[in-house]
Amino acid sequence: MFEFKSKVYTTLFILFFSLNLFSQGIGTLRGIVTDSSNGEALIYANAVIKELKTGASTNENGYFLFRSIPANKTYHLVISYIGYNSKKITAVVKPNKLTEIRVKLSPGSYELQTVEKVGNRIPEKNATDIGLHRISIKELEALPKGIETDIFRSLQYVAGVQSTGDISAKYYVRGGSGDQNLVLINGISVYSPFHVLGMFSIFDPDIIKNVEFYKGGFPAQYGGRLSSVLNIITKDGNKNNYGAKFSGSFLTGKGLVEGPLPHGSFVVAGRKTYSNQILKKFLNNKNIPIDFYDVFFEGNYSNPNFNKGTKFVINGFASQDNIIRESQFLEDYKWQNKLFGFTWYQVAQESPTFFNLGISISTFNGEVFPKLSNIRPEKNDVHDISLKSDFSYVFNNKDEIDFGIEIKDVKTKLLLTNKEGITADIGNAGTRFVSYIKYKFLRFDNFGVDIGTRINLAQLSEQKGDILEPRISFTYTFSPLLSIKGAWGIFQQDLITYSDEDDIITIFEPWLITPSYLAPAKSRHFIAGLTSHPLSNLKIQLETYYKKTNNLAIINNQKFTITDPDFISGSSESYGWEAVLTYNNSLFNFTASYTNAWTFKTVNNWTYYPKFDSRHALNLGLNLNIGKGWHASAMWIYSSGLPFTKIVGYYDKYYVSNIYFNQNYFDSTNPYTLLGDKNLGRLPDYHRLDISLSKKIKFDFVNLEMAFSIINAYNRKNILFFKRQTGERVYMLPFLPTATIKLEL
Amino acid sequence: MKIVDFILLFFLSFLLVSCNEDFSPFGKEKEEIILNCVLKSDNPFQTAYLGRSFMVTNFNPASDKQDRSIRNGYIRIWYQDSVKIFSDTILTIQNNSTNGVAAYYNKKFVIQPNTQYEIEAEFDNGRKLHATTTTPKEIKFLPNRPTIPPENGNSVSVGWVSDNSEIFLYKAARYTIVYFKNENGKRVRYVKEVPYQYILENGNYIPFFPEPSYDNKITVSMATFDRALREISEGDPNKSNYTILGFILEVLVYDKNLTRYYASKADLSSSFTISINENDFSNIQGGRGIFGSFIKKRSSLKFNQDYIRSFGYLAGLK
Repeated sequence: MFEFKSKVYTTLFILFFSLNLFSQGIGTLRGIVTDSSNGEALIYANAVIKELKTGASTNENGYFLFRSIPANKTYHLVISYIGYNSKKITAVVKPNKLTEIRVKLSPGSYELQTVEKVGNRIPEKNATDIGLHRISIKELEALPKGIETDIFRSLQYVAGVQSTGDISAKYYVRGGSGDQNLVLINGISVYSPFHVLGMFSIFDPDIIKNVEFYKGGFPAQYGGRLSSVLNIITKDGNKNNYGAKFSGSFLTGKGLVEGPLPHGSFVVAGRKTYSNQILKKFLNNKNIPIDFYDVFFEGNYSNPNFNKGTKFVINGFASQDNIIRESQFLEDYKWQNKLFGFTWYQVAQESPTFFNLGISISTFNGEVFPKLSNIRPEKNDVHDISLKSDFSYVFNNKDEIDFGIEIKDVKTKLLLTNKEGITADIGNAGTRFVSYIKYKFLRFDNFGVDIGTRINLAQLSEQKGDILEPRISFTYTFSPLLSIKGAWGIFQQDLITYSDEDDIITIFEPWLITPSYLAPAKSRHFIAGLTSHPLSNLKIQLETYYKKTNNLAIINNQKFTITDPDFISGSSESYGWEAVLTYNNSLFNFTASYTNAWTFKTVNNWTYYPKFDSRHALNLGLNLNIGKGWHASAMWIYSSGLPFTKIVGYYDKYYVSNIYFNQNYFDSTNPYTLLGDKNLGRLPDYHRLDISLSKKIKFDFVNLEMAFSIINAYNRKNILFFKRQTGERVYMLPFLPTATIKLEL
Repeated sequence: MKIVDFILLFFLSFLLVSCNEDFSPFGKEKEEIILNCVLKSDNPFQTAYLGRSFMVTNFNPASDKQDRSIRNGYIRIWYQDSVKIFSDTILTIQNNSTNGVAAYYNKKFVIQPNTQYEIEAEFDNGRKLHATTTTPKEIKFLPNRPTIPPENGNSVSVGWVSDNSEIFLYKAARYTIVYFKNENGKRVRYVKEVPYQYILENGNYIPFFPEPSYDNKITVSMATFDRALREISEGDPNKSNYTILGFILEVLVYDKNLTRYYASKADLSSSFTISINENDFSNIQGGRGIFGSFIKKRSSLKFNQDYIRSFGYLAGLK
C-alpha cells in the first residue's frame, strides 16, 4: 500500500512541475465577472473566446481562467450568465504573462421588449459535473414562491431528490437518509438547517448568491457525508451603493441592509416570524406556536494597496426556533445554530493560483423541556471548530491540481432519557484530519477527468474507516450533440443523527459522532450519464446511478433495556435513472424531470422500503416573462405513492400503564393494531400544481415586487399519513393562496 | 397569442387529474393468538386471557362485537416443582369493547418473589403458546421513615433498596390515604391517592402522577399532601364525618418482561412528531401478548394526629 501511494505522489509531483515548463509565445487570460449593479462576483458565469471556440466558467470567487492561449492576439470574448445581459469584450493576451480583465454584467430586464440577450448556461465540454446541479438566485426566484421562497423546497424539484411530502422541506437524495446530506454555508457545516419542524430552511434566499448541489459522486474536497452536498454561497453586499430591502409574507417579515465599505462591502440580513396562522395549514389546523428568527452578516475587505489579490471575509449566521406553551403539561422546545467564519482568499499575481485559508465555528443546540408532560427531556449540543485550506493551480495545458486540508474538531453532547427513564449522555468528541488531492485533466477540450482522493489521517469516530476515499469523474463529449459522463467514488460518514427513520415530522434531529461499537458508514456511488444539446436552447440529461451503503447507524427500536444499544447496523441499496429536459428562450423556460428509483434498507436481515422510497417522480416547470414587469411560473409535481405499513388486524392489548389504578385485567385492554410487514403498502400518488404571478415596479428610488402564489391550485388531497386509531387522513397542504411583497431601496 | 394558448393548455390539462383518491390501509388479515397473563403478588386470584386477533375495516375495532376469547385452551403455569392449572371454567365479564371477554383463572395462586414461572397454553389442534417470567425480588424500605408531616423539611421522602440485579426494573410508587367516611351512619372505607404533584392550571388543581421508573425513592411535598387531604372532603362542610386511618406507601416492582412491555408502550413522541410505524413488544412464543409479573410491597407511615385534626378530620380509630 505504501509503495502504491509513493508512486501516486511521485507521479503527481512530476506532473506538477513538468507540465509547466513550456510557455513560449503563449499567455494566460484571467478575468473576474461581477454584477454591475452591486459589484458582486458572479459564480459560474460563462466566458467564451470566439476565435478559439473555447469556454470557461467562473469559480466561486468569480474568476475564469484561460491558459496557454496564443499571445499577442486580440480575442473577442462573450461573457454571459443566467439572468444577466451578455457582454462582448475584447482582450489582448500578452506573452508569458497573466493578463487580467474585469467584466461587469448588468442584470437582465424583465421587460420583454428590452431584452437583448439574457445569458444562458454554456456547457463546458470537458466539465466533470455529473450529479452537479447549480442554482442561481435568479432561478430560485423564478420558481413558484409559495409561502416563502425556500432553497430546500426548490431542491425537491430536482430529479433524484425525494421528500415525504410538502409539509417538510427535508430532502432525501438518491436513496440516502436526511443526515447524509452535507449542508454548507460559505463552506461552514450547518447541523440543523431547518425552521419550524423542518418546514423551511433557515437560509433567507435574499442572502444567497449561488447554490451548488451535488446529488452524488461529489469531488474530493467534500466529505463526511454519504449522499449529497449543498454548498450555499452568500452575497458579499453591494460594493457600489448603500441599499436596503424589506419584505413580508404571511409568515415572516425580513430586512436586508448592504453597502460599500472602504475596500470592501457588507451585508446584514434578518428574518423573523410574526404570525403562525399560515402554519395551521401544514398540520390539519394544528396550532404550532413557533417563533423563529435568523440573522446573517458578512463583511469583506480587499485592499490592493495592502496586498493585491487578497480578500478577507468574515461572516456569521444565527438562527433560533422556540416552541413555548403555557400549559405545564405540554413540553417546550428550543433549537439554534450559530456560525462564524473567517476566510482569507488569495489570488496569486502573475500565477494561475488560488488559495484560501479559513477558520470557522459552527454550533448547534437543541433542547426539549418536558415540564410535566410525558415527553422525555433531550438535549443536544454540537460544537464544531474547523480549519480549512484549499490550494488550486492551473497548468499551462489547462490541467488543474487542487489540494487542501481540513481539521475538524467536533464535540457532541446528547442527553437522552430513554424509554426506561434513564438519562445518559451518548455524545462524544473527536478530531477529523483530512487532506485531499485531486488532479483535473482538462487539456482536451472535449474530455475531462477529475481524479482525486480524500486521505483520512484521523477520523471522528473511535472505529476507523478507510484511510482513502478515492473519487473519479469524467466527461467525454463526442459531438456538440452528445456527452457521456461518469463518476465513481467511496464516501464515508462518522457524524450521524439520532433520528427515527419512521418519523415523518420531527422537531429537530440531534447529532452525535458514530458510537464506538459501530464502524463509520461507507457508501459507494456508481453514476453514468448522457448529456445532449440537440438545439442551442434545449438540453437533455440522462443519469443512472447505483449506491450501496454499509454500516448505516439505525436507531434500535427494540431497545427496551438500558443494556440494549442505541443504534444497530444496517445497510441500504438504491438505484435508478433520471431524465431532465430543459428548454430556455428569452420568453420562457420549461423544465421536465423524471426519476425512476428504487431504495431498499436492510436491518436485522429484514429488507424493506424506507419511508421516502418513491418509484416514479415527475416535475414539470414553466417560467414565463410576460413583459412589463410581469412574471409567471407554474410547477407541477408528481410522485408515486410513498410506503406505509398496512393494518392486518387488531388484538386486545393489555395496557400495563393502568396497573395501579385498576388491576382488573378486563378494563385494562384496548384494541391495538396488528401491523403487516413494514412499508409494503403504498399511499396514493402525490401531485400538486403551484402557480405564481409576480410584478416588478420600478420607481425612482424604490423597486417594488409583489407576488401572488397559489399552492396546490386544484386542491389535491395528498395524504401525509392516516391515523391508525381513527382512520383520519391527515392531508398535506390544501389549496392555499399566499402573497409576498418586497421593497428595495 | 401562442404563449397564451400554451399557458391555458398547460393549466387546463390539470383539470383532468383527480383531487381525491381512494385507498385502503388494510392488508390481508393476519391471524394471531393472544395470551395475556400478569401475575401479581398481592392477590391470589390470577387470571389469564386467550384471544384471537380480528379485523374490522372501519377503523373502529370497538365495533367488532364478537367474542374474541378462545375457550378451548388449556393453561398451566409451572414453577419449582409445582404446576397450577387455570380453570377451564370461563369467567365472562362485560367490558366496553366487546360483548364480553372470557378469562381463565386460578383463585389460589400466591406467587413468590424471585421465582421463575413458565406458562403454557395448549389447544386441541396441538398448537402451543409459551413464555416465562421471573418475579422480582422484594425491595427493602430504608429505615427512619418520616412521619407526616415530617419533623424536618417540607416533603415526605421514602427510599428503598433493590437487589443489584434489579436496579433496571421499573418501580411504580405511590402514597395513599386510607379513610372512613360516615355515610348515613355507616362507615365506608375509601382510599385517596396522593399524586406526585398538583399543577394549578386555569384555576384548577390537576393531579400529576409519575410514570414507573428506576427511581429508588418517592418524594412528595407536604403541600401536595395538604391538597389531597383537603380534596377528601371538598364541598362537604361536615369535616368530622371523615376519619383518617393511615398513610400507606405502595411500591410495585415490575419484572423484566413487564418493564420492557411498558417501555415499548411509553409514548415518547413529542406533540409534533409524527411517526408512521409503532413498536409492539411481545414475549409470547407462538403468539402475541405479555406474560409478566409484579411484586407489591407496602409500608404504613406514622402521622401526627394534630395535623389531621387541623383539617377538621378525626385522626385514626379510637
